[in-house]
Amino acid sequence: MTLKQCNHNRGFTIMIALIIGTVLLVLSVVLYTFVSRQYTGMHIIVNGEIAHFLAETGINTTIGTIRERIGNNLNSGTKAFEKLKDIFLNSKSLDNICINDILGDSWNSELKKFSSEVDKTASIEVNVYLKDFKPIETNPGVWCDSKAVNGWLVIESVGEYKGSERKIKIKRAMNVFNMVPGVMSKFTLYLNNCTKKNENDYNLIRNDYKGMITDGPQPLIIYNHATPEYPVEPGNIADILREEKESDVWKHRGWIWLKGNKTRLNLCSGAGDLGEIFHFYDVSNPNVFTPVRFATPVQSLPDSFFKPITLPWDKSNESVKNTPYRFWHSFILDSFHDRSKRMQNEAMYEGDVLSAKERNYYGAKSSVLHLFGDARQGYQSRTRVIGPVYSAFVRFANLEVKPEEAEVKEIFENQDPKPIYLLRSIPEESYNNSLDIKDFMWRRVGGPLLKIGMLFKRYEEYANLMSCIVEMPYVESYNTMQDVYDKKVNRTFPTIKKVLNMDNEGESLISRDNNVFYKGKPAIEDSIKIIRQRVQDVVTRPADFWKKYLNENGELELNNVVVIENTAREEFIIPPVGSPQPLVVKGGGIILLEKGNISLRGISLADTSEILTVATEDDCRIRFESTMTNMVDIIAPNAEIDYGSKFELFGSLCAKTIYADHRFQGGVIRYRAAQDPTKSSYDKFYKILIAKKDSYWNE
Amino acid sequence: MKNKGLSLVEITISMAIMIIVMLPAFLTFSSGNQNIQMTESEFRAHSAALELMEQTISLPFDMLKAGFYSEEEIKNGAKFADTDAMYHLSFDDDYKLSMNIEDIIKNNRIYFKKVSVTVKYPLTKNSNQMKNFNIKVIINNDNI
Repeated sequence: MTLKQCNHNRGFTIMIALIIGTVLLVLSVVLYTFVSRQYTGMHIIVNGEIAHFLAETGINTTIGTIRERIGNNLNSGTKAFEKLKDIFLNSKSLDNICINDILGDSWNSELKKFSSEVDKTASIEVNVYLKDFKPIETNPGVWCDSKAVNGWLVIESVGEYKGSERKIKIKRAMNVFNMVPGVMSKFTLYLNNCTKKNENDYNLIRNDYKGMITDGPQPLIIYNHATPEYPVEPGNIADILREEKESDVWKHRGWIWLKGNKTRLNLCSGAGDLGEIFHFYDVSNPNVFTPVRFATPVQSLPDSFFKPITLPWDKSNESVKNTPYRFWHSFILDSFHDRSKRMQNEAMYEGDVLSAKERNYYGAKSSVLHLFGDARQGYQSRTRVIGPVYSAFVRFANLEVKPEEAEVKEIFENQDPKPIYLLRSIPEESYNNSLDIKDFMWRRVGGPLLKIGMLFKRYEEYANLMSCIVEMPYVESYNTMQDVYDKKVNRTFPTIKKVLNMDNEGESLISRDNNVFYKGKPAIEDSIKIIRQRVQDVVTRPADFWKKYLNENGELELNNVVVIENTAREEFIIPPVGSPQPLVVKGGGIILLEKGNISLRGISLADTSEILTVATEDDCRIRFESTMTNMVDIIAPNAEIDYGSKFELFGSLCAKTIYADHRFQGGVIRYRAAQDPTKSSYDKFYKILIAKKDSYWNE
Repeated sequence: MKNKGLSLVEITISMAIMIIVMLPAFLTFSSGNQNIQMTESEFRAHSAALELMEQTISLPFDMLKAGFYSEEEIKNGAKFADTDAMYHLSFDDDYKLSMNIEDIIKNNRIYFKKVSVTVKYPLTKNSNQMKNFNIKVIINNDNI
């Protein structure tokens, strides 16, 4: 049937209308469904975006809150920081640890509260993990710290809005390491080249009989024991003195390394303001000085000392009697302490105790380096000094005369003070066997007329026993001091007991518990290496550094390890010009200056748990331009400490050399015992650094 | 000839059927068209909000100044930020943008900023009926 034929049938139009209507109806339903689904789909997209922003809000607030809670790093010492630090320092495994608790129990509910501002159905849920932490400082030849690790802070945030859910997971690099600058933190003073110029141009200073400076360069005074972290932390002097009783106290104190050629560390009296230094005194009563006597070994004495010698003794003008005497010999080491009445230069050489030749050689000088054990009189410095360092002492030869006859013996014993015959030194060319032996007060020995030839047949015999200056490696003098402290009887010279082995740039070990921090020959370069490993940020100029890390009050909030490139070699002045002095450090860290000189005008730590290090490898000049205290570690293997103000440094000074001429004003370096890696106090300087940017994120 | 052609009755019935069927169909088409326009409007509002939000949160934290910013302030040179940067806002004048930046302060330091972007837009093109679209995010001060 054709259409034409159909047209002839009744009802055809109705059929057509019904068909068209049905088609239109179907089409409209399809269209409506399509549009509705498109609308719903669009809302899913929009809601998903809002959910994404909610999830991102979860990430952002969590990072910020973690920073705040762990005190990153304004308030290290907060509960959360301590909790997290405890995880890092004491956990056996650092893999996949959930640390939601440092955000607080109500953290997720707080986020939900925020999300309800967006919509009733909106929510945010966050979980925080530590993942894949590995040790980063593992070489004991450079620095090995098993607690120094890096890994990931993983934050998973889920945002939900009207049925749409978005999950964001980010990883941020997290570094945990100590802000103490490696091996150099064990040294109070480390100089790469002490004899850069001339041995006699360095470390030499004139002082009077009280140890006070008379002219020339000023002393660099070094305290190696713990001192109070004034004004932050009060200390107890009794605790410091108590340490003196430990024979290995040197292990817990700052070390000194004077590299280069032979360095003379003359030890001088410091009974005045400078305290008592390296003296050979019996310390049973610190306020009573007793020079230490060392017996000369019998085998070292000339033959004439073994049997009594009969000598004529003038009992009176009318009576001359031959009396037998026995001679003994000992040394008294009195250092440069002087008891004469002369108060000017060279007072200690009164009475020709030293020969003119020796006096010309040594001069009335002592060292610019005064190593303090304690500021109180009578206490020895207990310092480990490494390097070719020699100590110079005045050695008084003491001739003991013992009469054999009771009558004469009684006369001798009734002498007050007891006769002590400290022998003079004479120039070699003046010696002959007919000389009287007289003590340095020009008294003839023992009263009887004694010809020198009766004791010494040759000059060499006399020279071995006469007074002179002796030099010995520092470590031997240290051992001698240990003998003194132990109240060892029958000491002979040199000492028998060896507390330390001779330490001439040898291998050192720095360890605590089972962690060997360092094993090898300490070098400043090792500290620089470890600092470079820790760098987290780079700025171009010193001005950029200050702009970034000074807060609105002009305080330093570093909490980072930062390199300043400084290709223009601008001077790095701390604190910057225009800022209050001293620079207050609210957040410590390490500054590595690539180029340029450094000027220090005072640095103060706001908290005892902070530490600041300024390091440079540049061949530069470091100058102290203020007498204010600088609480800082200086690590500069190629730098010269320039003359400037008399300075005070609380920390470690590691440099190439110290400029030493009449312009050098000297100063005081106090070792910061808290930064000693062998002490538990070292642990308070660990910082937890979270990278500023995500490493990656995904949904 | 009797059976040929269309009777008036037939035509009348057919038209009635067509009217009955076509009316909901046209209404459905109209509603679908309106939905399409609403979808377009909402999508454009959403894109406008996202455009402003993304450009705002990508600014350095310290540059963002707290306050309420109207459409005019936003378009005339980004006064909400301490910067000369101009924002590329590509939507029509029908879409009224506004933004609120709020500092979240703890221990006297600004730890976070809460950024809210609101877009007021016509429900459909040429419609007088307006609707709001709003997104919020909190950004973190990475300088701390």
